Amino acid sequence: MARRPAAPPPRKQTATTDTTSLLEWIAGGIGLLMLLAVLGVIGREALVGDTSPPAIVVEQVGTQAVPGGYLVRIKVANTGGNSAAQVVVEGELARPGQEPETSEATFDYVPERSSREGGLFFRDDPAGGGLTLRAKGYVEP
Amino acid sequence: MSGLLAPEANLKFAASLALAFGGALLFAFPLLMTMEMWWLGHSMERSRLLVFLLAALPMLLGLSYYAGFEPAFRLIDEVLDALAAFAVGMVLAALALTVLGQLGPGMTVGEMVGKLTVCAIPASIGALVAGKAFGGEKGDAGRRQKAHMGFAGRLFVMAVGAIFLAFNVAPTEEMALIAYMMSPWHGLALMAASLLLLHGFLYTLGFPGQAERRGDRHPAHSFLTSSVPGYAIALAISLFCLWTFGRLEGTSLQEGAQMTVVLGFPAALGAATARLVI
Repeated sequence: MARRPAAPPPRKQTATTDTTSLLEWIAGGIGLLMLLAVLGVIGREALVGDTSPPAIVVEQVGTQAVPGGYLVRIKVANTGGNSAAQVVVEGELARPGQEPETSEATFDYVPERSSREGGLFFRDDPAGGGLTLRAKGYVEP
Repeated sequence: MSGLLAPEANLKFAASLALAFGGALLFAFPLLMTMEMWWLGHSMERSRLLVFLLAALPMLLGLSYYAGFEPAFRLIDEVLDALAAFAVGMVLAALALTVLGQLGPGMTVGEMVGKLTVCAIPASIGALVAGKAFGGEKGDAGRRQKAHMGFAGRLFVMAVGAIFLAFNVAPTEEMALIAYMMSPWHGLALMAASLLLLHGFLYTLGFPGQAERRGDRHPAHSFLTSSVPGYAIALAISLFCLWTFGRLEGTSLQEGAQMTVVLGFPAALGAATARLVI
């Protein structure tokens, strides 16, 4: 408690040499706080970060009728510890007595512990049930 | 105390802060609008990002000394200026990335901080280069001081110039693509061109304090003492950028060397023309 390194500027300096203005101290102080915060976040991730492979969960956010069919809005969440690029998501809509209808979308980038949204189009109404969503694969960035 | 609250010094610093924002924007906007930069923010290995940030700090400090007009080295002023430049870079990156829709819900703190850091480092270099007037009082004394810039100082300025230009293209896919498409002969030709251009620019522009002595130097002497080390620095910086951006991962030695030479071209131009910007 006795000595703090971030002491205010010495007051005994003469006006000719002391050109450090208050604003300069404030700007420098804000910079220092930002730097420490950034170092903290990145350092923590570098040292104790999760390095498990991407785990992609696809979730249906909502369905709505659009011209020419139906739109299923989806949310792709990566719960793993690594980013996944070009994540291909496929939706399969089972139809009684017919071939299932499939649609797919590719997500450029789904970073770790983050989510991205998108949509799949179907001709038939998915409200009847039988819609399965899954991630087919990814590429390491 | 009078110096601390002097309205003149504070106003001057505010003006140089505004200038710093301008410089940061001008230097960093090509990067802020490059998708590889946003991706690097989260795909870059965290340990490399940490090394990258830690390597940038002494560079900002040195830059605040060489780009500033402070007559003498006052450590606290240089540190404050470097930190202020970092703050300018961070704020600018945060504002720009938000407006450009690159920060938003669904992202983790780590991802956002990564993106901001990757963009803030070039922005703070721009802030320091533009905010030459950082730090209030100045006079011609600063220029005189810089006139006696030693060999190490010249190499440092060349290194900053190399980073200044190399950074604009380093994160793009094209660096790897060009390297794949070039034959080793193309690579050697590009090396020769980089070195000759570097020498040509250096010889024409010169460094402060060099002009009066240039006459009694043999061209081969300045080639060996300025151009060759300058190109070596350009290559070293290229290699470092490629390593931090993870471009050397799984790449053969020959492809890695080729990529270094490709990136070394803008780096050499930057090293040669550093006098223009700093």
